[in-house]
Amino acid sequence: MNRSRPVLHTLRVTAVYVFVLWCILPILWLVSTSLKSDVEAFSREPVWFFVPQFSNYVTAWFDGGMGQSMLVSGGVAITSSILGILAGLPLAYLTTQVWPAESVGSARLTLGVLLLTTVPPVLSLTPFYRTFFGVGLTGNPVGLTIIHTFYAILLAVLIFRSFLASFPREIREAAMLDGLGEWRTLFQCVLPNIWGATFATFVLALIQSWNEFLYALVLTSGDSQTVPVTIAGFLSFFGTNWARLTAAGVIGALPIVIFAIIVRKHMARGLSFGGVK
Amino acid sequence: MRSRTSLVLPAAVIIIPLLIIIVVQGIQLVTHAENLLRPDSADQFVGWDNILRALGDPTLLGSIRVTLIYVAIAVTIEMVVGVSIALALNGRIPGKGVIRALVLIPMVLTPVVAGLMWRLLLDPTSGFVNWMLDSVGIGSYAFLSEPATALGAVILVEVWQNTPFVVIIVLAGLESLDPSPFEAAQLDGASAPRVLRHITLPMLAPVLSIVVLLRVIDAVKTFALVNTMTKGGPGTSTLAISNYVYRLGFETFDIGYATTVGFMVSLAVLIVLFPVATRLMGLRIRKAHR
Repeated sequence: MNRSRPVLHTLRVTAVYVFVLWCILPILWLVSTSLKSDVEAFSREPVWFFVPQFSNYVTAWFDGGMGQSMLVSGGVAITSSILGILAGLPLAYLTTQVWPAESVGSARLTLGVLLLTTVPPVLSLTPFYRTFFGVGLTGNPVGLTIIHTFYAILLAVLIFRSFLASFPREIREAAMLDGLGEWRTLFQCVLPNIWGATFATFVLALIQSWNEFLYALVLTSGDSQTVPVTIAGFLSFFGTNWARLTAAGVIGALPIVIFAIIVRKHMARGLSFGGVK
Repeated sequence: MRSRTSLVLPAAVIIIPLLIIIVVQGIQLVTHAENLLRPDSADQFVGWDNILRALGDPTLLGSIRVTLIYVAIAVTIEMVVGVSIALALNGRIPGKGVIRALVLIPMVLTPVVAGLMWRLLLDPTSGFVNWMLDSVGIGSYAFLSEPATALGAVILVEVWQNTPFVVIIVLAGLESLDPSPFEAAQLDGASAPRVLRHITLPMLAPVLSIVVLLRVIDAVKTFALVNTMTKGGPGTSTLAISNYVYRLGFETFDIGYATTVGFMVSLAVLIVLFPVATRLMGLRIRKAHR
């Protein structure tokens, strides 16, 4: 078909490349601005040729508190993703392997998880804030970690469920006959077969937590601010210092972007909760 | 039996206390005129007043309107562009692996960074977009401070960020389709548009509906882009519901009323979206299984 319709093929390829440029040019602008001096960055006429300088990164990292925020964000994201998997996997196992996926109990539990996924986070923003403030869980990363774990559990249940629904139940039945309990069956017989799903869940939970802004803005402050909160604060803190602002943006986004590119093969199915096999 | 029940425990330990907080604190806050700046206001019982106030609140109505426009326009563009690009990408194309990696970047980019980046790009004095418009003779324009264009600009960034999601999922869906109907169509000499309309799109329908659903659920929650680009302004022209609840609760500290608005809006979203979500995820509880 391609050989018989060269015009169509060229159009198709052009459309794809234009789309890729549209995706990537703003990012290139961001990175190049972060390497300019403040005067060059804010110049009306774009400065195309300049000597790259990394002082903006140093300033953003130390004076701007990006270094501290990266530690907090990393801690919150890794902790909540692991806890989310540890809590979500058994629930998905229960609703697909112990109970058949079509059973009423399984459907009810999953409906509950789906309900909590659909509801906008503004439902619980003020109730959580008021409670957490009262018991000292604001202004430090603990309260935020709890909330992010909650969302990681929802994500984990939906992704694991989509993978485990087609997982043969005979494996569990055989393990149960051999006298293994549910937990040992889960970790010794089921988990080794679904490392791909586990990794996909971990990746998506990590990205979700790293990028989350609404709860982070409300529940953390000062030294406990996560990356998005600190970057948003730069706008008022450094005013119109575009070079530092963009440097902070690059620092904050880089780990998650690189990570996502490396593990992208695992993401498509997890992203659609099994909508794509 | 005991080890079965214990499978629920780790999740229940986190989820159940949080649900109790939502219900107990929610009822307390909705029925009281609590303001964080006036500590004594926590005991000020107002009954239905918060709910009545929400029903007659023009700003709330405006923010619902903003959110509906945002979701409808953004998701429509994301689907049309995303599906087209996925179709174009399906098949042989030079550099496909690199393209897949690059397209991923907007999608995983921290929304706060995306919002700030575009805010600088659209800046009327030093932004690159306006320099381009200037140099081709159109002249610069303060997109984010004009009510006529501010919402459009935020939607543009939403589309920039999330079209790749549609591309990636739909492409994965296309690649997993059974090839035999396409081979049969080719033997019959069917034209490309007819194959698209009568084979590709119908076979892709389940994937497409899940993608629309996930995009709608996500777009309704929008907060970071609006917060970093316009803070809801100028006026309330870009104030989405999440931003309105945040403004009420943490800028005017009217936390009782903020909770009421959050509850009512969430309820409305659930009534509209949850039945659709249930059906598309194949989770309807059927009587026959009882």
